[in-house]
Amino acid sequence: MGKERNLASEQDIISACIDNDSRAQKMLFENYAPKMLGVCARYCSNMEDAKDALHEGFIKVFQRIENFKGTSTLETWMTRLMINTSIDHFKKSTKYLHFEDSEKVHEYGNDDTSYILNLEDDEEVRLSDLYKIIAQLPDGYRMVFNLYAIEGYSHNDIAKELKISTGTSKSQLARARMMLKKLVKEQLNIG
Amino acid sequence: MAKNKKHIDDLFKDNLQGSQLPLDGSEWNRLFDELHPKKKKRFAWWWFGIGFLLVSALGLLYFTVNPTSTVSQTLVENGAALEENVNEKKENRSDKVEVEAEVETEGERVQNIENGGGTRTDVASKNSEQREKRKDKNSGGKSTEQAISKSTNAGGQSTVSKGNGTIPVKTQTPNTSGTARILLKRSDLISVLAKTAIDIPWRFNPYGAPLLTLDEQVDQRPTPFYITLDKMVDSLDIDKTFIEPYIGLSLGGSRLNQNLNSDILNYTTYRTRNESSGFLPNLGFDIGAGFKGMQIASGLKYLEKGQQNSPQFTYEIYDSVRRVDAHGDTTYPRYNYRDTTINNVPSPRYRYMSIPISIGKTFYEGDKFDLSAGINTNIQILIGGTGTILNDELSLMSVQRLSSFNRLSLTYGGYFSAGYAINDRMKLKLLVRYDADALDMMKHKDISQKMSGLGTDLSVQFKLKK
Repeated sequence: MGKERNLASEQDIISACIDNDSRAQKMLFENYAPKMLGVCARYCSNMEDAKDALHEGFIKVFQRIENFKGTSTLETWMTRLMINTSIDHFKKSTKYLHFEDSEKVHEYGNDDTSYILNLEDDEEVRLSDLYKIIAQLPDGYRMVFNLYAIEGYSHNDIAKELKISTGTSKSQLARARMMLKKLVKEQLNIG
Repeated sequence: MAKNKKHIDDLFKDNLQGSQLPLDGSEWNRLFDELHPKKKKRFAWWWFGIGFLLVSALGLLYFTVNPTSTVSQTLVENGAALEENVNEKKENRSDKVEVEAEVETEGERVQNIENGGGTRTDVASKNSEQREKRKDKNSGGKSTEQAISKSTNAGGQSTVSKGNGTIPVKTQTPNTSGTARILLKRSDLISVLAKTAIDIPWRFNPYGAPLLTLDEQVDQRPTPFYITLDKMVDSLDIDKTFIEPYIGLSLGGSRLNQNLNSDILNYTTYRTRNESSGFLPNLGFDIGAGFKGMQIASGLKYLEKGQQNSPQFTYEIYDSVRRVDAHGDTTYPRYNYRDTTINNVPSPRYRYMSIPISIGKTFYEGDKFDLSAGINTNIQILIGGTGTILNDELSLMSVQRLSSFNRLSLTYGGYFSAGYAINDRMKLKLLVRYDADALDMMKHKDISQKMSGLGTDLSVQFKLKK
């Protein structure tokens, strides 16, 4: 029996994961999996797909962890991998992604003031309700909204990532916001 | 209460960014299994095959080994001695002494002389003249086992000469009418008989080994299988009998319907509703043989299976697609990008190489026409595919991704054929067959996709023997 490695710090865990140490892999998984599942769930329309994306994402994490240089935090690096995996997973299972024509964007409006919500000061929004609402977005809307509003990507970055035009990205975002506002009002009674 | 203005983006960003969702333990177990796969002990089909070939080779060796190769000059000499005895027996037919010979294993190679009826006694040889001759011949250190002789005197007393001595054997009380049985190797007998030029009738017995009879009586005891394969095949006299080998080329096609059995309700509904069967071709090379009215045939065939979509074919996929949301609740989202139709979907085609095997029987045979029926099976290997099908998520999936399909396919079915003899060597054959998949086409635990249907082949057969 070999001596068990000291896994006190994150760097120790990373080093052990590079050596394919299953105990370190389990620790890393247990530390980050719930948060990463939250990321995947935002991009996938159902929990089964989210778990599949999480599974694929962690396979990539353990395969590529030796490439992690430490220029960002491990969580940021993993989140980025999970987003890419979720998008890949989505592309793989969906050959024909339906993005509507960007010319019609004006129909939905692109004025930021259109998307302001009035919340009560003490109003609490349940996390599960928000996941449920975002899962109801069409896949194209959901991708663009997540990348733009939550991850902070620019429309140019989104266009490159999803291989669409910036106009399409903008129109998808506008439609997503419109739909979200409508769903929030209907289902959470926030308007 | 005070109102707080918040952009819709911020509502989601503030709440969802960095949020966590609970996991059960199965996720790690699944991941661990993939990260650290156990080496599966797969069934050693190769070893099974090698073992089969080895046993076959040994069997072939056993049946083709030539026992006459061990015949020595001694045997020939002993054969001469036996010849004398045979001649003696022929001369002494009035004594009604009968000689039997049979194939004998080496371990049992003894000789036994019997006289019919009476009690057994040990009797010394009294027919010394002939025995001494044989004794002298066998005394030079040669195998005593192979030194075989037999004699019967007028009084019915018998002795055995073995090697360089005379061995008294148990005989029954002598009488004038007896049966002498000699047990010796077939090869020995062949040598003897070659010398004696006695006409020996060959008989085929159910144990596989022909019995040699010198007289009318034949020992009916089971005998060991101890005859060379070439002799056996020669005795069949193939050219003059019933085997009629042929080769041929066939061209045809099948119209198949798919039988879907899926736990995924929408999948079954869409596949069944939207896909029709089509007539797809096959081209083959046949080799076969007729055998007393039976035909057995095999060969190599290229064939296609698939579905034929019409130009107006559409996948109508929309909100009815079931979703399980982040909380495990089943929902049917009202807004789904799939609420559209996809036109001109390429028809799925699956290309196979097949080894057909059929066994049939001719039930009518005229001067020119014949009619046959039989059963057939196909061992098929998937070699390629085109077009698209729905995957279990009701998304389009390219058939070119062969990893989603089982490479091996097996079919079963039956056929009816009509043949027309163009001349004494060539025959035209029209065949109608039914084929059904025995194995699933797709690798999916919830989807069983099998095809079945009617096909037809027109083939030209060329007899290899007039």
